Amino acid sequence: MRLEGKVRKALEKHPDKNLSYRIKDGVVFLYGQVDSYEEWVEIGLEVGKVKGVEGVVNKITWKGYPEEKVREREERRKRIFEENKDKMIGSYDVVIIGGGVTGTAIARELSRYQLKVALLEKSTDIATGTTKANNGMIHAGIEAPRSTLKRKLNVKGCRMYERWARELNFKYKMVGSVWLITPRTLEKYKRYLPGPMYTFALRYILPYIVVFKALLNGVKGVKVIRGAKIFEVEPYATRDSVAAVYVPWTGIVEPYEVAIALAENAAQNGVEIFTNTEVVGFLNEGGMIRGVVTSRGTFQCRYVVNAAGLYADEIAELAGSPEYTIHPRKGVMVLFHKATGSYVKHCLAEIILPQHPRTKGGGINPTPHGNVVWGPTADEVPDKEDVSVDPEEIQLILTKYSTILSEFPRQKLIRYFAGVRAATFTEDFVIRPAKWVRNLLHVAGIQSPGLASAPAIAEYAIQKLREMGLELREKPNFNPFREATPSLREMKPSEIDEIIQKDPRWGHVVCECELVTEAEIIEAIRRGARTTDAIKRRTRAGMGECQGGRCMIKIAMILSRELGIPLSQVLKEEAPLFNGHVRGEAE
Amino acid sequence: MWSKVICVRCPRSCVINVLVEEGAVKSIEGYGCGLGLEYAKEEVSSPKRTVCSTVKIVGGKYPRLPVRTSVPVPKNKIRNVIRALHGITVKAPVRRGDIILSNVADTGADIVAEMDVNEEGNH
Amino acid sequence: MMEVKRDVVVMGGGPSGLAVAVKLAEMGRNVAIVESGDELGGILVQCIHDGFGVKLFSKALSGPEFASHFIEKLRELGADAFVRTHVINMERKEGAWELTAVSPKGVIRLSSKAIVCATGCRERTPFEIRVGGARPAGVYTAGMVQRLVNLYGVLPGKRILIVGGGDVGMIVARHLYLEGAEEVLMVFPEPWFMGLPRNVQQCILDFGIPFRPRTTVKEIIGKDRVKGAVLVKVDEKWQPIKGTEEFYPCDTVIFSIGLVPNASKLEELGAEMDPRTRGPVVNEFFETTLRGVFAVGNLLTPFDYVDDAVETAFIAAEGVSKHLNGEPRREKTVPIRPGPNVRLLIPHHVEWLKGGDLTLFLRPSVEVENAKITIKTGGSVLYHTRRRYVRPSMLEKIVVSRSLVEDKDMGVIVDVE
Repeated sequence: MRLEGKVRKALEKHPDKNLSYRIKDGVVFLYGQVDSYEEWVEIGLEVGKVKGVEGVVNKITWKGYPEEKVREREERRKRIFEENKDKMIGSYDVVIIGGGVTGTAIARELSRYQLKVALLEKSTDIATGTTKANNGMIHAGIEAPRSTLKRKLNVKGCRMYERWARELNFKYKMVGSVWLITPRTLEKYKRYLPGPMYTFALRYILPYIVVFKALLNGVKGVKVIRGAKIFEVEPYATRDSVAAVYVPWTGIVEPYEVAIALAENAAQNGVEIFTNTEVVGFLNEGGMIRGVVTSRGTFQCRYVVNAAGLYADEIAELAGSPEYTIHPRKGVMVLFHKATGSYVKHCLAEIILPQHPRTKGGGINPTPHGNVVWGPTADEVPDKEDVSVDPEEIQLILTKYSTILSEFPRQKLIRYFAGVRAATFTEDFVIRPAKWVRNLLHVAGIQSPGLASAPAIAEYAIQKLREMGLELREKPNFNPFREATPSLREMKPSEIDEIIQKDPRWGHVVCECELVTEAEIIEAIRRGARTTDAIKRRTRAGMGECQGGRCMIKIAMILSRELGIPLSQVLKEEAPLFNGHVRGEAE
Repeated sequence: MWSKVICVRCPRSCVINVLVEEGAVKSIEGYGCGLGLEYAKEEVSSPKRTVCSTVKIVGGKYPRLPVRTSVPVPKNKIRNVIRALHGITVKAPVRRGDIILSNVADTGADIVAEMDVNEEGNH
Repeated sequence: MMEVKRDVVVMGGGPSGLAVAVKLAEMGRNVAIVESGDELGGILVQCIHDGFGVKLFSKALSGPEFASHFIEKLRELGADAFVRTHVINMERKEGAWELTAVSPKGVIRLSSKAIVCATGCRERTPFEIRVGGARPAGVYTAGMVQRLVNLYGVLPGKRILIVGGGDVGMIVARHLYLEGAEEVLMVFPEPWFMGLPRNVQQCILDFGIPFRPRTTVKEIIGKDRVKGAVLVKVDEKWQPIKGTEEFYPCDTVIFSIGLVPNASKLEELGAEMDPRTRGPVVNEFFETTLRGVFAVGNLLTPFDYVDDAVETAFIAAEGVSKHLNGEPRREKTVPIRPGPNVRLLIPHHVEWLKGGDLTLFLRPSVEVENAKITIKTGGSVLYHTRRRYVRPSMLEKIVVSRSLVEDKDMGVIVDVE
């Protein structure tokens, strides 16, 4: 059946909606009106599943569609566009849009070559979007469906992390993962497996199905463990574990550390990084982008890389090549105090089939600094900026994952947060040259396993750029090594004394919970941090038990002093922390 | 007529009952100490409060100096006292008890510094 | 590296740390205080309101004034105080304790036979009560705001919502109201304020600050900066009542929801903890289960009066002296347990062979007029005393003769009727 026919068939499932479509070069444009946002997502996904569909641009509206907001946004973009389209900032070989792990990875790879590269980030810092708000898991590549691009790049990317960590000096641990098989694993299918057959299937059949799936995906070395061995490997695993699958390649990182390290190395090697720079439009000529118009001015360019995460679809449309729509999917995570780190040795999950729609792919993970994170959940949300957490979701997580461990001090919860995944309707990475603009490369739809795939995504993107005609002449003085950020908590007393003698600010502990000194905060500012959250991500100040209760004001004071701005202007991330002075008496 | 007042002089928050007849205090019950007795007598006729706030200071470690009224001032003058502090800038060094402002808002009370502030460079 | 050898090292230079150091110095011991902050005085430096010291000095001093008394005394006695000095490691070495601390002068190694921990409390975070929403700028704890306003003269925002009916919240409400906030509303889940009635009078009622009992915050609205909060009414069990949600516009939310002892270091070292106080288990001289390590002040449990916190410091000073003198301890401790109407109680047991009267602090879990506080063992009443009024928001102190308790091997139970 031709593509048109297949798409029509998919839409026929919703006869009473007046839906229409248009297909151009494999991209399906959907139009019409439905009642709910859920339906909007459902229809998009159904069409996205159709074989041969290369992208779904879902222009269907739903009841409660934020028309006003969308219009305001468009007007705002137009206004900023007019103000900046003639303000030339410079001429670049490549302009990368988006400062998350994808954009910074590509920037770092491009910095190997003799190219003038600019990275544009709309926020006040690198990695303030999806990159900072996930559980930092470097998946091995078993979960993604075999035929997808994300699977291929995940398997490759996962194995590239060790080298990245060595060169870029971010914390990385290949802890491996343990997937527990318990009496709950196939509970929904228990009636098909009566009596002893159930346990037999759990112990001797299912584990090997998982190993086989892993092999098909290109992941070797996966082992099956049973009995007492499970508890040798993971002492606090739930007592009723029947078997387990051990995956050696799984790793953990602090995701924002990766992006920050990539950005610093890229900058070190000549990439110009512009924060507070929002792309509002493009100057096109002859089917090519000549200039990227931003809130800061216009960047003339030869190639553009769209790594704009949640906004990649809007960027694609502004650029003249709308090929996908992002349907944001929020994930909530719960973080526990460092004292709980001793309870978890590997990334843990309990296999439950069929997968719970809201907590699939989640589990209990250690973090490289010793915390433990539970989650994530998965919820379709209409607002890209929705990072709110519902107390019910916290309860859902605590209940759902409590069956994984026999014991865990849940009262040591210190924080919960949410991140939003940039998912497309084809539920896969979109890394290809734009169809209708010659010099634009899409690197979009980077949902999980985006972080794990990042090294391979960057490599793949560079390959695509080369195919698009970008000349890649290696830089003889490219330095792949980025200096680690020194941290007091990792030093021995003799080292500490020495460094304090050189700079007494190493002896001034500002964050007591995480042992962060003034010197480290100043170093973070030197490396580009301008807000308290940026300092937090680089130093961990504020990530401890008191969650900034004791140190936040001190950090704000230091920022005020170092940046020469009044305390009342210091930002948390995008907004000021404070407002006004006592009786209006400024300093 | 019996009035109930809650003493604010210290955390004990004694509940003190005051009997006022013909405009004079006839009896006071329930106070826990001398401060409370004093407080109760005044509370029913001319309630007073200690006002604690801060003023700007230069040359010290922090930009604010905690100050208080030397004695409780009439309750209805609290806002006047606060307003009188507006725009005052003190220079370090300051000693605890130093008078920053005499007879604030015409209440008879002085504004005094609550702590020592030494002269310091900026940290 | 600097080596400092003392009889006793005190961790924390707040009121309790200062008090224990002063007392020990007066007793002729050589003491050093190690303080992470920039000055001595601890939390008192930012508590510019008065009411401190009525029990000790019969004066209603402000926080800084109260602290000054001890700071001056300490200076007179010649004891050392290391400020901006933070302990990063604590371990026992050959019967003595060794602390490694960092300061702008370098690493300092302190060794002593006894340690007094006076590290106080931290504030509970909104995460600990599962408040929903994103994490915008504009969300603070009351202590943070107190410091911000009183030491830096900066306001957290203009339209303020304060969550929690405790003392710090009320005091901060008054500060903000007087110092430039446009609007202040206070909400709390209890039927009435939890803090001291004096503060209700002089902070809330005096100024007509609006408040809503039986109300809490379900969710904070706003992504970059607070735009408002979703308030919800709660029942007697503090459970939200569906359908009573209401959006309250504001730009700042301040949480004053309780204090938690900074006891992680002690816990890591293996000191036994009391899940009720969330502080260490201690004997009658406030010594923890780590021999030679004492805990005083708010680290034991948050005190309502600084005078009481300081009293634990005076008692601990005696205990430190006994420890340094090598006085004998009992083979078996006599446990002191809380009865059903007592939420928490310190100390937890009698451990020393000899000593003076026992001072106990307890927080009742009930609100009773004409209450009777009793000490019983196996059904028989050893001691009782009456209080006009007890309530959970007020810590009660009782002093009893040691002889009543020390021979009761099975332990005693303290209760409220």
